[in-house]
Amino acid sequence: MSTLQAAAHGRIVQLSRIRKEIADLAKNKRRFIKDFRKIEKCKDIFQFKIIGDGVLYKNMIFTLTLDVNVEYPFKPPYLKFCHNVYHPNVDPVTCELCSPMLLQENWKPETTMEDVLLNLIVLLNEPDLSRPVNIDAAHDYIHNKVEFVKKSTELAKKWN
Amino acid sequence: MSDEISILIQDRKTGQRRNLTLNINITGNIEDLTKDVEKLTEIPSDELEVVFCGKKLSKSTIMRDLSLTPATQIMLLRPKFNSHNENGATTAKITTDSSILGSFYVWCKNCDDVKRGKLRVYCQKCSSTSVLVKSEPQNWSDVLKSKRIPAVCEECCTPGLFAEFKFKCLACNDPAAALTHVRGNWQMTECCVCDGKEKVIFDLGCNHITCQFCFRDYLLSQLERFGFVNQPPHGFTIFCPYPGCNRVVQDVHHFHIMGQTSYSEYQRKATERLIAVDDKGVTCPNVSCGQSFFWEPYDDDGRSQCPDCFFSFCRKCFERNCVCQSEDDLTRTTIDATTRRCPKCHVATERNGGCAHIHCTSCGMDWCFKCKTEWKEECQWDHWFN
Repeated sequence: MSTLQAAAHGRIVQLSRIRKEIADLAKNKRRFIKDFRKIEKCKDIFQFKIIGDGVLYKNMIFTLTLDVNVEYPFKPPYLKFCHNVYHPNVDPVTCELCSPMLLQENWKPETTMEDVLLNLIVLLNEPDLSRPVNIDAAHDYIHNKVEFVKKSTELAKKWN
Repeated sequence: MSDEISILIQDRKTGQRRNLTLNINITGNIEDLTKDVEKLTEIPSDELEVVFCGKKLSKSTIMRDLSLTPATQIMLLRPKFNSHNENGATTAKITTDSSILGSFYVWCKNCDDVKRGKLRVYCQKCSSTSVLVKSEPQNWSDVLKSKRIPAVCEECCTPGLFAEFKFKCLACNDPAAALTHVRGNWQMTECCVCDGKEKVIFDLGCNHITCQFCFRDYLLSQLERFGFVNQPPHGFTIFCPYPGCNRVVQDVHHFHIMGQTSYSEYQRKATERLIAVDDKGVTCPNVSCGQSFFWEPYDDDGRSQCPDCFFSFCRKCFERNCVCQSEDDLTRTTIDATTRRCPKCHVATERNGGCAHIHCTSCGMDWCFKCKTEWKEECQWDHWFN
């Protein structure tokens, strides 16, 4: 298998996987996802809205972009909020979600976009404190829960 | 169609041994073969037993299924005592589907590709192919390990012998390494990554099927940041591509599908990691060298010499002229404060910022820099920010 053939195969896999997974998302009709659409003609970047549940973010709406980069599914996609979120696993500068599932070392090629979105919902409700990127939010979550709830809900309401 | 094959006839009744070259019809069966031999040698065909790959073949076996090549030799055995009932019982007992002989896959160094392979049986002592095994191989261990299957060799007639199994490439007939995780996609199951239905698939025993192209891409993406983990006794290997599955590749020959360049890089990186983990592993500090090696503990004066560039240095401070004695208290304090060894694999770790939670990139363990133990909930509450 030459390098050119390998690159072609990678692209074929990527396209077939993305097509299949979008079809699955449409078919499954998850109630917490809406307005899932492609925003770039030449790139596989999708935008969608998440309806939060649980205690903290009940019925709040978050807008995110999912960048399925060129080497998906052998490399993980990027998941990024379109606005600020006060959360231990969301970078306060870039608004990128840093989930253990999306780390290259934990990523498996058979993980689907739906798995990523489900993981996002879990993370919103239960932050993963083992690797925080927003230290202030993590500190508040551990030592000052009231302050954390106040700040996070305030910021979430701002975009609704 | 007709093929030419080499035949060895062992006539135990008359004590004769004969070598023949015979033109056979590849679509015929064993019975046709014995009848052709009868014309040439006048030995009754019902007295002949055909032995191949250490087994008596049933008379209905098709010649094509045996994957014959010009180098193949078939043994025809005429036993000393002939009993029709006994032969019938023996033949019925040993009858197996011989198409299994062609269902292996191997890595062929000559072809530089995954190829269909064939299994050959040899005498442990004299390497003859005139071997009769006493029981069937039941699993991979029976053919990959030695001294598993007792055998009788018609050449050296020594008691207590074992069969020796080898794999060869079907295309070029070179010896090749068996790939135990590669098999044919008999049920035409879809690849879990690309949903394609390929003929050749990887299955680590967990039934998570991956086609060889996706598995290759998976290996290459893991090699980029070296996602292989040391799993004794398999060495640096990789988990199943399916999330949550803990099966690993058990033979590093499978990684040859990455290509020669990538495989060499895998070997180099794995070796470097192994040396970094071992207490007796050291990397030459000479700027133009970078060689890694193990030092031996005899006659140890704390100095080592690189076998490549012959640079001699103190192993503790990595200087040609030792400066350990002149180390001041401040340096020692800094070293004690910023460096630890991973509690699981003992790789040296320097902390240059952040929290006390350490994720070891060598063995994947999460541990606490302060406690020097596995990361626990109390570490999370008490040691995170200091």
